[in-house]
Amino acid sequence: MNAFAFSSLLTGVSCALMAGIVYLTNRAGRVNQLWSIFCLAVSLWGFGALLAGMTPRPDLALTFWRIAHVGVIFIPILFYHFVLVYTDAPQSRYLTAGYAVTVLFLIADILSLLVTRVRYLFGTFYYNASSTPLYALFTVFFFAVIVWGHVRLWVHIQHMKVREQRLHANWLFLGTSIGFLGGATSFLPVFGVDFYPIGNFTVPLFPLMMSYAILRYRLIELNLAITKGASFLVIYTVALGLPLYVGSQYQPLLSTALGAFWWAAPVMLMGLLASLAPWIYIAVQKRAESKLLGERRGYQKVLWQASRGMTEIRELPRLLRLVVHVVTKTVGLTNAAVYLNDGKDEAFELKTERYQSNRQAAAVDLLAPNSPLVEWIKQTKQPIVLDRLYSQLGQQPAKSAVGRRMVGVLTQLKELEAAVLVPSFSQDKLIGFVLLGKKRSGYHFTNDDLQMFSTLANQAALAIENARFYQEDKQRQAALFHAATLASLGTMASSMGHQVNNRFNVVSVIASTQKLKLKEILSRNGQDIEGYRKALNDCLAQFDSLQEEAVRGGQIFTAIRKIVRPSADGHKPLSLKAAVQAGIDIVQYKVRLDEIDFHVDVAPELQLVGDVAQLGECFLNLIDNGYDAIKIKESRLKPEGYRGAIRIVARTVVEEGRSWVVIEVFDNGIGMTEKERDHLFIPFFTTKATVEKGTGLGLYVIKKIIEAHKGRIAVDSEHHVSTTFTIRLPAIGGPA
Amino acid sequence: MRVLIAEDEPKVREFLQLHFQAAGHEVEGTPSAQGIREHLRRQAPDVLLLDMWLQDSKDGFAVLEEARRLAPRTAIIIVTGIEEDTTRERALKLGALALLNKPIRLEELDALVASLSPPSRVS
Repeated sequence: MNAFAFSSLLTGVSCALMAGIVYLTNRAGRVNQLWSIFCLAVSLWGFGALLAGMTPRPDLALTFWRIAHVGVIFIPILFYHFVLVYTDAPQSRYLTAGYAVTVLFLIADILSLLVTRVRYLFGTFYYNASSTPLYALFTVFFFAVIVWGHVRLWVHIQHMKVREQRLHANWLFLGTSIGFLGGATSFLPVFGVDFYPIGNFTVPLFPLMMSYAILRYRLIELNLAITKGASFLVIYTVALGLPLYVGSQYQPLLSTALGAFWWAAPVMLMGLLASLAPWIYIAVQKRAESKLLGERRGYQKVLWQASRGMTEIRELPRLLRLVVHVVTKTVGLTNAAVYLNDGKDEAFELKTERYQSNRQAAAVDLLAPNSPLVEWIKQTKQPIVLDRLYSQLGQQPAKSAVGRRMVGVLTQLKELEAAVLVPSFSQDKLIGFVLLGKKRSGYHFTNDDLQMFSTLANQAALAIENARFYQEDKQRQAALFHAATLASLGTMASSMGHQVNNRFNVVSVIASTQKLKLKEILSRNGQDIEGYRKALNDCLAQFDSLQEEAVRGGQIFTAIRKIVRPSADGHKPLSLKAAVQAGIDIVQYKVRLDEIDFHVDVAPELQLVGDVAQLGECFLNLIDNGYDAIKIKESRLKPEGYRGAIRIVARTVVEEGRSWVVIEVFDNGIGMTEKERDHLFIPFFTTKATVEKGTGLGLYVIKKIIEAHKGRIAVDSEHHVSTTFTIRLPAIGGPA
Repeated sequence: MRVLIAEDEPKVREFLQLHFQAAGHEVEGTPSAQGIREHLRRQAPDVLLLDMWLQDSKDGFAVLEEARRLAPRTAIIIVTGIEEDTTRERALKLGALALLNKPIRLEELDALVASLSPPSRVS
């Protein structure tokens, strides 16, 4: 094989391979399609020239040259067409004209008018020697279109704003110009300049350079496709080529050993290798994939896990912080921010942000509903990529309405330091968006990245809706608890009123009696100083009582305030004893705790996180219920020597790997039947038949309150004997 | 006169007892309806000062009715903290002499008791 044939073979193979890979990478992409066809044309030329360069017969060489020229004829116009598509330029009449001329040359080639003769050159092969005016015209057309294509490409590159894209385009320009310059040497011998077309070796260089550019700038999808293609080629070349090599090199040896059936050995070897090849191919491919995609798989996995975890989070701020943290950390972004629909006037409010450096955050607090950015997302419902929007802007007539809007969007994105914007939709409603800064690595965002961000954003949208619902639900629940507390206080209104009145009554009575006493002292005549002193001291002593009564009256209201206060400020660390006491402080105005054995054993150091008013409400109700159960037992069973007892005992236990406070509220009252026990926590179920019967919400609300404190409540009761409620709540601190 | 003070608040009971004793009356006190019952069965007083709300009874009308039945001649003065529209009317209908609101004014109570006891009886 001569050098020319070899360079042609390389051109044919490398271009065919590149055509296949580029097409398979993105079948739908116009750029990919045209680049593949262009490469095929070059490849056709390569294979045609290979055959022409190999044959010793001039007539065959002539036919091969004509076949090669089908490729050559299409090279310029396909390249030009590719440049138009690559630079997003509109298709022009020149393109149509160019194709028309191409078709004319093709007809001429088929009619054998273009390539008319060959001559033996360099003492090795028959070279095209059609130095006709038509061929000269074709040559001029060829170079004119190629040069014009490069000029357009060059001009476009100068206007490219994105560094990565510009570098990629530069490599493309360099690759094709070197390829064409080298390939041009093939035209010299045609016109009598007998310069060996050694430049042909540069033609296969350009697919190599393209591959390098792709690898260098990590267009990862291509990266993988090339690796796959190359490993396929190598493995099957070995699998099929090795037996052929063995067959041709060792035929005499094999013939001696196996006789007439010598070919069986290479055939069997080929069979063996052919069946092994797919396994080897799959193994190699897996390794290549995991190597190339490992890093991305890694962060995709993290994001996937994060998106699953999101739905578990109920507090909106925490959820948003997580979203931002995950994208900045795992993808390696300079910054990120989340904006959410504020729900009122469709404006978007900055909820959370994260910037790498400590410099002043660029994010603004509120984006108006009519800002270019918000309007744009609402209309397109697509992620915005700064780079891509720039290139789209390039295609727009500068002063068009769309162009102006794009400029507005771009300006806003730049102000916000965002490279990508991913919107979150829930049932077609834009509930918010995530702004992402640049990748710290400098690489740009791939389609896969965007797809993943969109998935993440939609997952986040669901989670946000969830969290919002939960928040509202929590508020509703707090309102219910509050209402229940007011209801239970309502049942105590008369007894508390009686207590309050009693305080005032004591004050009034003492004041009246002391007034009378002072009047009597003032009406005395005489010099009995000791007598006066004694009388006044008695009087003074009564003022202590007055004071005490006033304080006691005040305490009643303090107790009410403590338990009625709506719990807007949420859960806080508190001592269990304080919560129990809040309940006792109220319930003592309703039930006579001195009539029974009332015993509280709660260590002051038992701490938990919760709402003192809500928990106080629980203990209030439980003590009240216990007292009622005792009274019912007294009147119904009339047990001899019976004395009611209520005991509240708390301790800590370690279960499920954490520390819990377990509180038992025991009473030796009437107890519950099995049926009552089953219905206990159902709303509006009540066994109380007195005038001051409860709302029937008591235990239902208690259960809900305990659950809102991440705790559990259980009941154990024996009819006519006793009842014990057991509450367990997560503890903080204290003995574990 | 013999006065029975039915009042669940010990301090009020104590002070009223002292006050009426100082005024020369024979005074006894009880915190409960059961106590009233026992007292009335033993010896009906001239005056019963009755709080509508006692330790063992929150239904003052029932106590009033029973007291009226047990001691038809005793003058019953009702003391109440929470007066509803019909309370006074109902109490008077059931035979109460008067109804005082808490906090009570001792002067008012004294005037009532004084109107019951002819000055000549005090000796």
